[in-house]
Amino acid sequence: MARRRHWLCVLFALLLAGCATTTIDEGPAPAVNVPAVPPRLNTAVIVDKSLQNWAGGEKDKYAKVAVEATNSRRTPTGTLEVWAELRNRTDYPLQVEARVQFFDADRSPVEGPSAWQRVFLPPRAVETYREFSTNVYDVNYYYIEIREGR
Amino acid sequence: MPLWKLVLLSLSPFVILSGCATYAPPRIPNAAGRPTVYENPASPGAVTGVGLESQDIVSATDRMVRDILATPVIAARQTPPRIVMDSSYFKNESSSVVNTNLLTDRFRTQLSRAAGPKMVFLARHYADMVEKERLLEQEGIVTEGTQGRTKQAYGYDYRLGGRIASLDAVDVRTGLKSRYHQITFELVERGSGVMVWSEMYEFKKAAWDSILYR
Repeated sequence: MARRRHWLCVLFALLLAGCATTTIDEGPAPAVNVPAVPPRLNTAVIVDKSLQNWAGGEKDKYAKVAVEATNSRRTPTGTLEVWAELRNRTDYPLQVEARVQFFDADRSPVEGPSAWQRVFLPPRAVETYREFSTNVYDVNYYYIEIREGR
Repeated sequence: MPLWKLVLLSLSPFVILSGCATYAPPRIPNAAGRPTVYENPASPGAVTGVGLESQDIVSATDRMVRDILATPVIAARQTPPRIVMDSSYFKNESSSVVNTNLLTDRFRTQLSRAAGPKMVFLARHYADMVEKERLLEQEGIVTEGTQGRTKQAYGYDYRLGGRIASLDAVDVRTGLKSRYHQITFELVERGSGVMVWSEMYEFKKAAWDSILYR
């Protein structure tokens, strides 16, 4: 009987271990960090779901704009020139806006994001978004964001 | 082995593992935030029309700053050039109501911060302030500053000029209005009059609503 009670206690403790929770019910909480989706530097991304959607099943996914290529090079003054070639995959004219953020060798942002610049994409056509950094030697990485024009 | 022991042993791996909670990011309450009167000056706001607006000023000046910093004639000089950048020779010839200082002030402040020691900016729009202080110093009313007495104000190497021009069209049947803006920025070399840098920002808008610009 005593041994049965002992095993019942162990079982009860094991069951309670499954009820572990880290919910904080009051006071400030640490910000969310989603390690699986950090910004991938030296790329161009589309931030508007109206232009591109990767969530859901295969039939829910779509992309109106394709980023065919993106690259960078130094200008004669040492600033970094970056560009992204955009292709309109639809039969309709599209307006997109793009901006770029620059980071140094430690992946720390070196200057504020550039202003949104508008790019007009005729149907099925290719256009290039191009931008320069203002920093010279601290710039090593870039991150281009594209959204639908407003 | 008693049945209850068998059940306990077979279930125990599952209840132990259930305590190893895997990380799942908090759900996203996908809803708009609280309404606020503040708007992003770099994006269209609640009131938009065919005129020159804040997002156009931000975009235009941002592009000019980045373009100048990539121009070797100006940004790669051995001796930092002295530049006057104000609205004295920047004219609004468009049908949009706009204070040209918005463009030139933003252009100057953004460029001076980004260029650092590579360019020197002369505050000609504060020339009377500088001259007044010089007179006070010459009359002995105030002392020199910590950097000593300068004999005269600096002359410039390049000065900003430009204009805003526009082209309007109205569909009288529907009231749809369109306006094309062309904003030109140029740097002119003193003495020779050579245009060492020139860039243009253009855009066209169409709208039905009549917005009053001041």
